[in-house]
Amino acid sequence: MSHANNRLTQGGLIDRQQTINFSFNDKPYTGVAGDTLASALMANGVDLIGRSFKLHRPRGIMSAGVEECSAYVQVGNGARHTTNVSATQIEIYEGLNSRSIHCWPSVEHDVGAMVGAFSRLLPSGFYYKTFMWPAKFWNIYEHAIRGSAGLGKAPEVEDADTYEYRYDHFDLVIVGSGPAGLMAARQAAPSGARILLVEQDFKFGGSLLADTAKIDGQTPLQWVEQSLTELQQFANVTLLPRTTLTGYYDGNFLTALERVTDHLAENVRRRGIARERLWKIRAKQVILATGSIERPLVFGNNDRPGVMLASGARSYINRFGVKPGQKAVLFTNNDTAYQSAIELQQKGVTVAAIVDVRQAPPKALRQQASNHNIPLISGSVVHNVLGKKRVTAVEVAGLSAQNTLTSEQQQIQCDLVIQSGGWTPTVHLFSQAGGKLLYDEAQLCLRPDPASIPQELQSVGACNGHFSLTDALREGAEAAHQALLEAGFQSTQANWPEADESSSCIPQALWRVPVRKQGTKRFVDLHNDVSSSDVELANREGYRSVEHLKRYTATGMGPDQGRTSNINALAILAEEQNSTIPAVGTTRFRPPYTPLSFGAVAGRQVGEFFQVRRKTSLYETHQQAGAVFEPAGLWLRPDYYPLAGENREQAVLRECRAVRQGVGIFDGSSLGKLDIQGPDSLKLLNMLYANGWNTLKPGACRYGVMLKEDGFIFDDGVTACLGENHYHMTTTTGNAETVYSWVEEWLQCEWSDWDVYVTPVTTQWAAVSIAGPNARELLQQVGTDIDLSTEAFAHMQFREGTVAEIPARVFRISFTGEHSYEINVPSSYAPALWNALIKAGANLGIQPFGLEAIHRLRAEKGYIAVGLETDGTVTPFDLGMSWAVGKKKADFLGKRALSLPELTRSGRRQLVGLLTDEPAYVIPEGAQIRLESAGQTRSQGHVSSSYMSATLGRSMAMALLENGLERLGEKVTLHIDGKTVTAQVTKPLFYDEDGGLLNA
Amino acid sequence: MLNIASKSMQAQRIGPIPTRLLQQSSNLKTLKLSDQSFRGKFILWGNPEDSHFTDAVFAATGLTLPRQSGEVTQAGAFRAIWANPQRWYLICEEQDEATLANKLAQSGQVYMSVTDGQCCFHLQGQASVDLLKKGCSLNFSETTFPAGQCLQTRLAITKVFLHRHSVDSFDIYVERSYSEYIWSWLLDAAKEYNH
Amino acid sequence: MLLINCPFCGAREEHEFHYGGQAHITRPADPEQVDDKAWADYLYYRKNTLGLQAERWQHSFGCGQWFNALRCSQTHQFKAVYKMGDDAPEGLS
Repeated sequence: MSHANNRLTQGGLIDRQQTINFSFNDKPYTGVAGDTLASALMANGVDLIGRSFKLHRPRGIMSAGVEECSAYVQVGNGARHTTNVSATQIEIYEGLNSRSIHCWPSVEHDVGAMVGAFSRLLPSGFYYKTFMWPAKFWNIYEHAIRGSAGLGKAPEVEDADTYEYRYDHFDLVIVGSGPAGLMAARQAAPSGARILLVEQDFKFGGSLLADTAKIDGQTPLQWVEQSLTELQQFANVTLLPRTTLTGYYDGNFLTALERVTDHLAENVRRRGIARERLWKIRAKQVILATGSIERPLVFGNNDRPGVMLASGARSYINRFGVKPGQKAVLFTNNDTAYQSAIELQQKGVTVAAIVDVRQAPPKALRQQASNHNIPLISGSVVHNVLGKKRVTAVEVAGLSAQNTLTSEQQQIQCDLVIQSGGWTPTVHLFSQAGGKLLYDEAQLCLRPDPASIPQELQSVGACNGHFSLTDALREGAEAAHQALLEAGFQSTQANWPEADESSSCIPQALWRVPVRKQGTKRFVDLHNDVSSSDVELANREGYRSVEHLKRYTATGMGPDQGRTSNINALAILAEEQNSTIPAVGTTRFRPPYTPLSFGAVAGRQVGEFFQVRRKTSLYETHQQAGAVFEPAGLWLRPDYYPLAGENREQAVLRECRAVRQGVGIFDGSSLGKLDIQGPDSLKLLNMLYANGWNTLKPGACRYGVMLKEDGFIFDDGVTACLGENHYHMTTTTGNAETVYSWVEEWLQCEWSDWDVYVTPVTTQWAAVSIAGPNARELLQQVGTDIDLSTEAFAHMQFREGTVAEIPARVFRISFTGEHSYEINVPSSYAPALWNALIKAGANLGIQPFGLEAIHRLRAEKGYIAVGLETDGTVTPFDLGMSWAVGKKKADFLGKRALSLPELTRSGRRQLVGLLTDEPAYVIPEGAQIRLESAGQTRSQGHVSSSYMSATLGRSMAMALLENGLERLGEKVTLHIDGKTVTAQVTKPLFYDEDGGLLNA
Repeated sequence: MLNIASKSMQAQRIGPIPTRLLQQSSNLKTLKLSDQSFRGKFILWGNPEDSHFTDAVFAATGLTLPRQSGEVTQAGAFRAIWANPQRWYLICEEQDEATLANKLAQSGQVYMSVTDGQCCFHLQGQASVDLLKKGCSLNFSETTFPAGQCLQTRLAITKVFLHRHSVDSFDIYVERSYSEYIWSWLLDAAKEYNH
Repeated sequence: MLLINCPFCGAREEHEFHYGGQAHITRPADPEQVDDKAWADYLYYRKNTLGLQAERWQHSFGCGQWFNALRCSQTHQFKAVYKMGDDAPEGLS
């Protein structure tokens, strides 16, 4: 396939020997090492890159850098598909696959382009105005709008790449490796300070890569090379290319996105290397050397492919060795772009004319133009561009003193318009850091206000509004010297080389070039299709604040974040209001500076690392027993243990029967455990729990309910007295950490003089429960030195001894209603204990049971589960647990609140049992109990736990019902998925009412 | 206190990391990651301003307790790590655990075994710091985190103790139920060094 | 992310800390003597200062210690940290 060849035969920072194959819109092309996708496409004569976001106008390449607001593409296939990236920032690699966005069926023949023909019907706010009503149709509109506008194709499969964070600390971070940044690094390197130099490009050098002015008698590239060679010798200096500083936060906390593998062919991206690395940096000192961005002019059809920034054209010709066109016209309002025109001319692009807004450009420039045989048309403007998919000519006219077009006019044939409307310092990071901007009336730009330096930072060079090379070098060196001293390092006197360039940038303001024909589009924000008439309209409609303008027109809200459009939009708004830019104000820049992928934001915390899956030391034992696991808080716990051919319900019912009839074994290791020691232990228990603890003797256990200060139940559990001033407290699985930190907060902040020591020992101890009529016999058979007779070891007692020859703490407590022991051993012995019990219990019908079975068993017994029967608004009285409240105690956490009117009023929801009239029907948990009165329906309660009971042979439920305790025997109605269910209100206790089994 | 250190018991113990995951650490080329979780670990409580307490601990164990964040002291086979102003981690090798337990009992002070509740991994190799920096925001510069210090911090999304033995070797102490997460996380983050 | 100076461990990143809300809220010594409104104030009502405020933080991923801090709610700047039980330093703004 043959393509136009715009590549120069020599020059540029590219390696012509190293060719790279890539594709664009399915056509194969060849570029060379050192190319961006934009430069490679340009070399191949591809003018048309995409279609605009809203109006689908043809768009080409308008810059050579991060400011690009036109040439957006999507790259990669399948699991590596990325959309909405600018072609000027993509480093090409072998096999790169890229395509246009915003166009269908193809960039050349785009159906949406007819929208452009009707653009008068699509002003700013069109979508808001048209599709606001009726609201319920929005999802239909939205679908159609997204389809036609779109921002490229969303990836359809999971990302193949990994991402990660990197935390680091530096004494000095330098952002940008142009003349100011490199100079700062060179000045700082010998100090030994830890220095990081970040550069968003894949080559260090910034503006020097396209520059020709001499530094210290060297070419800019020689000086860059020399600087890098020198810096690489310092172990204390980290050079980070392909890294964008995206965020500047409080306390010099910076985020930087390093693109690690995007420039590599997919088949050489090594497994395990993250695609992107998000640096999270704490810096003592920061030097911002982020440069500046050239500003476009706002003139008729200024979005046509072939219209580009003068600095962009210079970059293509000098850095990439590509001719951006054959015949160019320069349109400028300042001095800086003359050099670009001259260099284009020198490298074989015919410059047909320089059109300068100013009546009298400086004599030296006029002379230079004439020396290079470039016609200069001063006091004139390009007011219109002809050509659709590529510039074919420009219309030039004189400009009157009142900024109107004069009758003096001509048409100039060309395929390239290079333009310069002045320069905008890249102040985003300064602004993110909290710095204020001031408007520079002479240079027509916003620059950092030296009186408002927000953090330990300095702006140097062009990003500080000082555009000349000489200034950049001097400020870089001086800032580094200053930063080192501030950070406590030695620094020699600041030194910087001479540069033979000290141009100034004093543009003549012309924010809108007049047009001859009403309705000619003059774009402000190419990416979001915002034209000057949209800004005018917004102002007329009352969106006069800059913040409103931005949101209404979407100017500056594309992925380029308005790097080229913000100032122009502000200026036009100011003109419309007969005001000034400082009076209109500017929006504050916010992170990120360039878009961040979701992958980078998430880092490694995805998939198996999204959250911790806590496992007990019996996890593998359960796996071998065929357990099906269920997440419970952060824990993974066995839900049930199916036998061959069993479904969940069959397995659970079998497990429940095994406990009621033989013996079951359960892993309760995840229960929270706190070791409490010290003379004030008892005082602590009495404050933490609602009930009293004074009578608890060593060797005994007691159930307790814990309230928050608001009087509502927070947690519950059993605490054992291990000895004098020594207790073992258990909490629910889900609240273990919360209870511990709650206790610590009280002890540290309120009761700091108490002599008590609390240690979390949740995973020190594994807890294996055996429950059922055969539990005692099982414990006897597995072997223990503890006397198990009821007289010696009653219900709610604790003993220490050995079980299966393992030292153990045994608690005779029960959550199932059966005779039961909870055996605690150090976690690493749990599998040995479990296996011994299974072996010993073979002839006693032992079966492991999981979470679902234990929930059904405890519900039969009317035991509450924190988080089901409680939800942070439930008191012990609501649950009929007044026996667990020490009403005679002088104080405990939550006591005072229990007498607040809301907690004592009648009509509170109280815990009851529910038995459906249809015994086989299990009410879904969370179902509402309806109350119909006076034609109104409302909820009078809800179902908190509901199960099929193996023991009862029918369903059962627990519910919180208004005045429930007074309504036993009443019928209530629930409506569930169109079905009406009736149930009888009962006591919440379905099994062994007198507790005979527990105490036997 | 239960005596859990008798010889016949050792055979029945299992470590926190499943064999399958333990084996994956052998794929590491430039890094070494090993499980040292059977080390003896105790929490000791007390008031360091109270000389009865510090004297009793010194008499029983020979340890002078560290008084500041990061500090570690060593006396023979026993090591004391500062955990907070009233709490220390005492560490020893597996074979010394019973001895240390007995000495702590003799001291008459408040202590608790956490041998089974806390795990310990040893990480060593040139890329150790780079690896840890993927999940830990400490300043690893040798002036702020010199060898010999042990800091409590956050690694990935878990709380850990990092005891730095040298420029590039660390003990990582982590709660048992979080240990498998950290082990797997370290292996995953270390993949780029496996060549 | 804020950089917070733990009085025990030194400067650490915010993600090692747990925020505990307004500082210097003392539990009434005899709750039974406190009327309903005052108890509700103790439970639920908190200042929302524009400017310097005293707040409680815990170095939860570090030493676990609670401490107090004076922080400006406008600039996020920490002006002082001090141990639990100590009075807030005076003369700061």
